[in-house]
Amino acid sequence: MNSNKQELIDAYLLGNMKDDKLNNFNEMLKQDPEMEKELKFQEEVMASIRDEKKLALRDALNKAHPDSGRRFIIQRYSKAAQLAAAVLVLALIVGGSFMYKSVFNSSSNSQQLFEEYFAPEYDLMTVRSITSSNTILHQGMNNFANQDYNKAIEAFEEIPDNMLGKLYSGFSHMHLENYGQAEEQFKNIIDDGESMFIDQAAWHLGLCYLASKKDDAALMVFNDIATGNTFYKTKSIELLTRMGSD
Amino acid sequence: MKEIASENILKGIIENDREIIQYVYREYFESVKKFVLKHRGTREDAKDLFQDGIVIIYEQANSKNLVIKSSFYTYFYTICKYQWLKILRERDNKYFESIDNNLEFDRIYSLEVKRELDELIEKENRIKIYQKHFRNLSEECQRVLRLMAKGYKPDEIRETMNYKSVGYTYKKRRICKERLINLIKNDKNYKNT
Repeated sequence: MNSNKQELIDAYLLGNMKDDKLNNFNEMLKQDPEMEKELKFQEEVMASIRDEKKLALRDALNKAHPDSGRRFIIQRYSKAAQLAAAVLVLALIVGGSFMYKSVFNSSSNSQQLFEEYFAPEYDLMTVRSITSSNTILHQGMNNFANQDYNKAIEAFEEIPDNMLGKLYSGFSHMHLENYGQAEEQFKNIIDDGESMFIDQAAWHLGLCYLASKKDDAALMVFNDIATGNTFYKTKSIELLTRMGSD
Repeated sequence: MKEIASENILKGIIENDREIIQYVYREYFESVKKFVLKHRGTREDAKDLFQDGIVIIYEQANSKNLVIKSSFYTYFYTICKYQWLKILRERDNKYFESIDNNLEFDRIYSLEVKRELDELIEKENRIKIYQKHFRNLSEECQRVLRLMAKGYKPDEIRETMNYKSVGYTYKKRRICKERLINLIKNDKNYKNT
């Protein structure tokens, strides 16, 4: 769409056209379907901006959507562990509110911690030790080991039910800094409930939250892991201590 | 938890009542999520579908005098299911053909209702994209475009926004509009609508 046509559309939308100008514009629209389509599109966009009630409804729906991070992790622990987690969170938020605020107001701190704890070398070592009879999975793993993360994701997408594929798809997205998509992969593993990779998924979900500065959600996840009994327990406690003392 | 009557849920959705929206989420989200996850969707798909379903009911209630004869849950769940099967048919037709629900898909609504609903779903999908990108603009751009959309004249916008000149107001308005239009046109979901 050239700038002259765009200016005419603008003038029309602003109600600046009258008499002959308006008639000429309507004639132009009849002759130019592309321009007519563009006008309809822009009119619909403007109408959607005017519809403040619908905008408010969408906002309210987004706000009401449950914070899945905490809910899905915490389901895995006993009631006693949930209580312990709640106490720990309360202690951090209430007791250490000054410390919490001073640390979490600094976004560079979250990023720094993420960079320290997200260990690509560790992922590569794991990949190299895996043998698989699944050709696509193997291909994805090789791509991942060669740091071709986009190709790795493409391969893993072909085997959507494979939990290891989901895990490494999540790692690949993390390397590409697509944290939202990485979160999705890890949440799906946690949702599955039976996968042997739940602990790794939970830990990396927390790291994703850290990287995307969703500090409250990260804190919840690491607290939950810290009150459990997995490989990541010690690391989570260490990370929580760092969050409170750096 | 006391069950809320369909007409009160509808009223709450129209009035954007926070408690009603939370109630609908609490009571019905899990069923929608289970259905979507069972049929090759993700949690994000479930969230979108659920919210789109509510917006469709909001639009139906606003544009015509919607009366729900069944329970709200049945009506809402059927809309969500229809939307998901429609997406699935486009996204993964092989899988869609393989499940029993594809038979049900044809029977859910009459042809006339289906046509009306399809049009509404398509329109609401576009509006969702427009509004998402509008919300991603700076507060300043949102205010300028909102005033423009409501028909305020450039001089009135200048005064409201405390801009130094009408020329600057025109420039700002143009920049904000172009940014919004570009964001929308580059959205991969918009290209598919």
